Amino acid sequence: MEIKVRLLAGAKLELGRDQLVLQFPAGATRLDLERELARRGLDPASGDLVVLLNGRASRQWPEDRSLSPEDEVLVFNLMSGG
Amino acid sequence: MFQGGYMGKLLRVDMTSRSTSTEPINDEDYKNFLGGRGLGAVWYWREIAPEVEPLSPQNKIGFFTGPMTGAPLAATTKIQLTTKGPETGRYLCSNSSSFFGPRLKQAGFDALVIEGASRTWTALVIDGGRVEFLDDEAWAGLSSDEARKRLLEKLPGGKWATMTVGPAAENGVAFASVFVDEGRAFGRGGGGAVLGSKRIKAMAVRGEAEIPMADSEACREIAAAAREDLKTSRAKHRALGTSMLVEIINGLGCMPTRNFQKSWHPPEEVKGISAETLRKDYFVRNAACYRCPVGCGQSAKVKKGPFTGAASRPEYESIGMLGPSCGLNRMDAVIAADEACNKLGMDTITAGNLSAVAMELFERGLVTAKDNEGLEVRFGDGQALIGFLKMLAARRGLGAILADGVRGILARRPEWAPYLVHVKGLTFPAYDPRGFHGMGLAFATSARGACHNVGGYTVSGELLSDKYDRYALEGKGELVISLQDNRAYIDSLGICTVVRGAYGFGTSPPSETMLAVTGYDFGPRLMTIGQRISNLERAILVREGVSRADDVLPPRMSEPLPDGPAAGHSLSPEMLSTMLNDYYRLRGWSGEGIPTPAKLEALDLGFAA
Repeated sequence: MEIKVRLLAGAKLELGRDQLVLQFPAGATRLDLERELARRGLDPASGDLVVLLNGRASRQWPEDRSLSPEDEVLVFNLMSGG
Repeated sequence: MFQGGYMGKLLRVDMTSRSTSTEPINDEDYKNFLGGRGLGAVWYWREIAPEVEPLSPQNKIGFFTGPMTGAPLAATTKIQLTTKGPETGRYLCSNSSSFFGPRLKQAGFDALVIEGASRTWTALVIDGGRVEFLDDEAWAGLSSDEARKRLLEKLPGGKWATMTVGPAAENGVAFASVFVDEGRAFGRGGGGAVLGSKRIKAMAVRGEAEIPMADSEACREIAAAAREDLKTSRAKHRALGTSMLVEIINGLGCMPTRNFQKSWHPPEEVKGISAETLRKDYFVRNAACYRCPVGCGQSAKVKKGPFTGAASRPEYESIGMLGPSCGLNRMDAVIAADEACNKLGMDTITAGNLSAVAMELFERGLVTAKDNEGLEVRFGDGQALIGFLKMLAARRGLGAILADGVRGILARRPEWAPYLVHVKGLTFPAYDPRGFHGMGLAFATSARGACHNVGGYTVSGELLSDKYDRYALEGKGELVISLQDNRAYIDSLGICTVVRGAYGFGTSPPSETMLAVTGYDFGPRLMTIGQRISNLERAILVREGVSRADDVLPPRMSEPLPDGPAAGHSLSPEMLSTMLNDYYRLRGWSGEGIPTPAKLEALDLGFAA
């Protein structure tokens, strides 16, 4: 299963690209997604990094929530405004 | 009590009599209110009565530094403005970076209070302990940058810091800003109009006094550690500035678009105003405030096309409100509109909001070109936007009504209420609370009306914490209170919020920095001081007539968002009421949002009970 991850702002700057295409076996979960992102230097536990899964912070979904190719994933570093 | 951080004096200038005096500031005020916003709030309580009109000579305007302002640490740049603001008709606090705060302290003062009104246009010059007035009717009509240039030409060389106002302030525009040095401002609430009402076009300050530090060696060590931390922790801030929020907030479906009729653009459309585009096509250099190693300001210039030559430092809020809110996804037009606001001396947030209101009125056929001296102002038309900004500042056409801000508009055209997006008269910044409900509570309860800073920047908490979901109502009272109290003490320290992490200034701040600066262990007391300031500010608002009935969101928030990641979500009065109940209970306020005498006594605010 292919999951497209759109990188915004600081995350895009960090990896030098605006999208990741990740491959997962059927039945992969939200936790698998977060682990794979962490392996690529985008650790959701790193303070200001947000992983948005279908418009909600990924950690608001159950850990065992199955991924789907239709999932929309955004990753960005958060900061306050000016 | 204090061995450093404070100069111990307030400079008072009476513009009517042209007299000046210096007054000591007592240690108890520093201990209880810290400085900056806190000191401003207690001063306001004592000196500005509820019946005072914002643009009358009876109003006063104060500028307050904090103990860290000007200290030899990182980004010790902040100064607070406190006055009765014309945009809300109530208490206004506003902060700005740059060099004025540090220079005021080097002149020997922690605070500057201005009262009365001059008969002629003038500039106020503070050179160490000496105060001078540069009267000249030719000040009138100058843009804020022309006024700064003219002022510096009249002064001997040296390390001057300046404040200036533009034509909007001269015309009493309710959201006139104060331009600080070359690129920062007291943007919100109309502090510029108050200076204009006193016929002060410009101010300059310099001084040679040393700002005492309790432990200079410890300060040096803390400064070195902070600089090292900021190199990595704020590298993205330096590289992209706050404009990096454009893609993020749009990605959340919360970017105000066409006067909050929606809050999302397809990602490919928003690229035109993204941080990347700013960096790639318009960036000139990073701009830094006093002692700031981050330099998050992104100086930008338009190099080709219809807006060639326009230059500004566009921040996220300006991009959001002058861009998508006005239907614009072109960075060149946004830079030109931002520059126009700066020169005219208007808050980019409210100027953008009200321009979008005008556009919606045109779109709905509620006004025509005849109402606006022949100029049609349509969503997406950058040239028309800039033309309309000039009309706002000059009070021409529809600008004659909109220049008075939401309060003035509602007084003259109450039927336009559905299109005004504000709390207590202050227009929304570039976040749509339908997509993060805690921000709605923050806007509703902020001490100055809809504000993401004073109200509490809930976005991080609503996305990063396991405890909160952005659409949930539960827990938002606790979140907002914590953020408001934290921000209240940060605004009183004299440092920029961008660097606070380098000093550990969160909800459990350490002792070392404030011990090194002042010799007093403020650390464990800072959140209590923040809570005291929040409660005093509420007591001020209550004295000015505010209650639960004013802690409301505009009707547009009840309309479900039509598209994007937050599609279908709204924030109704009932939902806000649920969060308010929680918030008031945790604050120890009555169900009407009034701090109880017991709560005020517990915070040593018995005088406000």
